[in-house]
Amino acid sequence: MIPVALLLLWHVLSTNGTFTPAQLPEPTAVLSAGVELIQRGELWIHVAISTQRVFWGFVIGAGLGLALGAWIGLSRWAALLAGPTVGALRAVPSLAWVPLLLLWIGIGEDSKVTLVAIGAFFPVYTTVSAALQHVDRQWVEAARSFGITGLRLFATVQLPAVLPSVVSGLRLALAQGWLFLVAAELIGASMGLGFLLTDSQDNGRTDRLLLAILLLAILGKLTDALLGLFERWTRRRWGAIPST
Amino acid sequence: MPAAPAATSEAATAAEVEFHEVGKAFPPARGSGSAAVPVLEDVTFTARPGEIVAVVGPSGCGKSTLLRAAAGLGRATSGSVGIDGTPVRGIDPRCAVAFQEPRLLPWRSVAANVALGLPRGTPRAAGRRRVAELLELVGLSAHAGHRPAEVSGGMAQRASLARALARNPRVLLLDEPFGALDALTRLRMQDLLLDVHVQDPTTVLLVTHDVEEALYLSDRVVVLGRREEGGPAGIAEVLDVGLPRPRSREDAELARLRGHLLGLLGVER
Repeated sequence: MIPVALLLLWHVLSTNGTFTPAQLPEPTAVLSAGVELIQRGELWIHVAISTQRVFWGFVIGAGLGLALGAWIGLSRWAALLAGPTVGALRAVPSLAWVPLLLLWIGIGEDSKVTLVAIGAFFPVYTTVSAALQHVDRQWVEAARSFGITGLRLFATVQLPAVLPSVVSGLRLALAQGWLFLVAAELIGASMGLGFLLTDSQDNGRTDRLLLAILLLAILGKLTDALLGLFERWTRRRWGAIPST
Repeated sequence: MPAAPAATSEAATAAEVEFHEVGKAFPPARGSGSAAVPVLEDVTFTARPGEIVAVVGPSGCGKSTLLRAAAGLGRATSGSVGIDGTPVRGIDPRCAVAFQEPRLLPWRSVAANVALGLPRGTPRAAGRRRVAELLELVGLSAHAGHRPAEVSGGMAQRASLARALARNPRVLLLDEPFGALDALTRLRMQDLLLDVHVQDPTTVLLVTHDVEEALYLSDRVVVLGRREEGGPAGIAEVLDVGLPRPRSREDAELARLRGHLLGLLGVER
């Protein structure tokens, strides 16, 4: 309902003279801009390269976040040793890394994937390490009393117990991933949806600009829905109630 | 020694549990500068193989500490616990614990929770058989596939008992296992425990605050008490119940012993 209403509002505002076409082109203009880019084969490249950057950055960042979060959440020594350092790094607004990344890695693919990975890392790390520290001690003790220790204890008690937190951490990380992707592509790129944003701004193509925003919304929602499916599966498999 | 039930070929025989001068002191509150606070001192008694021994005492006197020391879950600060002559060091495979809370993992079915208690390396098929057998024993066969949130508190506690039995323990340690249940369920669970003990006569150590429960179930009752206000607790008396089981809850002798125990625990008769 609301998307339809928004579309209508957009149409009215762009045709009744409230905004000039340069400020807010008609919905149909955005559509035809999209069709044009598809016909020139460019749209697909922008979408594909952006999705690929988010995918790898998310996989790497979330993977590292899981590993480090598990280590710090499970070991009191690790928490004492490395916890404050990671906490301090987290306090740095992640976009502040951009100049350093450009200096170190250059303007190629790696620096963009790295920035997305930084964005994806912290939500996962934070939720996993905190959730592991709050796993019910009584469960852990009961399992230990039955001789379950080490990796088996982790797989039997801790991992299933923190799974819901892990999944919500992953969803946050994915949202952060898209955010950081746009930041990376705004700063220096020749392809991708972030590039399409700056390029359209420079050329006064507001229709393409809106198209890029729409595509980012759709892609973000779509990938989040994929994780949502995963979340529902974990709820069914690992939740307190099997059905629903 | 009673013969092990045929269904569990490797069913363990009951073990003797020996507490020798067991004491426990808790470290003082940080910054208070005082010495460690002793809560339990010089507890020496032996549970004979196959015996049911109840431990009663005022709250905070270290009843659970004794049990945890036997299970290897907590260390006594002095003295030692031996099982069949060998000292307990760390989690002991000869013991199984049922806690006051069922402590079932909420994402596992009742059957899968019971299976957690199986000794490591149990073949899959044998494990499944054993779990089915135990669920039958505690009357949960119809709820094998349910999750803990879908069964009642009494059922969850029965599953917890079955999980402990799955370990084939030579010593069954029960830490106020029926304490959180309603009165009627508690009575049923007591009878269930006796049934289980007849079928699988392991040594049972039962910590409870319920004097009637202790008398109804156990061969002997170890009464812990403090000699002086605020001081550490020790054994006030070891009471031989000396009545055959099953017992009647209205037994006159039990009533007399109950009065005696309540008196020891400082309750006016």
